[in-house]
Amino acid sequence: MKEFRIKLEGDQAHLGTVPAADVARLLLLIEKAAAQTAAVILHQPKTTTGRYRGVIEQAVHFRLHGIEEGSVVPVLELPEAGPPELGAVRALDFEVATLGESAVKALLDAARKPSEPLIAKAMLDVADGMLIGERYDAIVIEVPSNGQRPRKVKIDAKVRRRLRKYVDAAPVPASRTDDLVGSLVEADFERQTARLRTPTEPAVEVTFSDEHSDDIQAALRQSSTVRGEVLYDPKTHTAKRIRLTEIVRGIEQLALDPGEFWSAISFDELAERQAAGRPVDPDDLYDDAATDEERDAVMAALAEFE
Amino acid sequence: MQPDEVPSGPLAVDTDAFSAVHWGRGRRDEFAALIAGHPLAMPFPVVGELKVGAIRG
Repeated sequence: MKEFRIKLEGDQAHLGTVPAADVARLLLLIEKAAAQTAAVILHQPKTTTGRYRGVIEQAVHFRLHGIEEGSVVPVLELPEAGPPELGAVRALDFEVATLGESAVKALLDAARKPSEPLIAKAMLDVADGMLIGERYDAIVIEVPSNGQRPRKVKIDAKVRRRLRKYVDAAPVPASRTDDLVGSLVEADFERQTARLRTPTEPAVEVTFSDEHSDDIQAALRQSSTVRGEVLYDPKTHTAKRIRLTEIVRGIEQLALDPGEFWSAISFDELAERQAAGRPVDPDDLYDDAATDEERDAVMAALAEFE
Repeated sequence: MQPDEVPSGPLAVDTDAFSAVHWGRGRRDEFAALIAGHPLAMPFPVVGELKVGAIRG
């Protein structure tokens, strides 16, 4: 795919009538959506920071070839080949030659049948920004398809509503400062990435900056508590990625003493240590401060274990 | 099982039993009758499940 066309449809979508600012906005929105989608493809949802920004900017650096007569049809050209820095991110299982092309195709897929919230949101932003269904009837994106008939996807009011419904219903990836416990392996000091093997996840992706390189080196293959901004899978609630801010040697989070773990302690000794072991009254175990909604929510969460 | 069939002494409670009694849901009355008067022990995995349940819920 070298060129692709974006057709704006509607009463005002004609040369001589369409506000120039709307055409400019359309081009900027498409480029922004492609950049956001490229970031998702690279497993880097944030496009505002880091070395990926340059790669993504190059990949979606579309050139305007022209605006065709009749309806407003900007013709854009993709970069000739993958940007040279792309080789630096191949470790993320990214095999395609042209990131921009993949991003545009993923946007079209999202318009037809959204399956990734961030990409659907990127496409929705284009539809929202152009007031599709209000000021304009539709945007039609046309891309070549391996010498066959061009692939056309129309984003009209119906598609906009569908995207909105999907995005609103999609769980938002949760990111928060947290600690993860596991062994750091496969550190790549050029790419500043590593893998954290936890008891439940074989590969939590770790990214770090120069200042932490020595700490990473020292902590390799040892049990460590890795502290930072953790991105959790919204469905499984398991950690997927962490942006490192600090490494804590050992397992601080659980405060485990390895020797203590293996010592056999009788129930009476353990109960005495914890000032427990008295016969219980079930009514004392009841949490009367919780609301019905909180009780149902916890019970539903626990039911998922079964 | 009836309460008089429960062996004397401490009991280990599982996640279902403790959560039912603690949150007052499901088989709360049934489990409450079985554990009443016994010292309870909570296995480490049960504590973990209850914490995860509270976080997710």
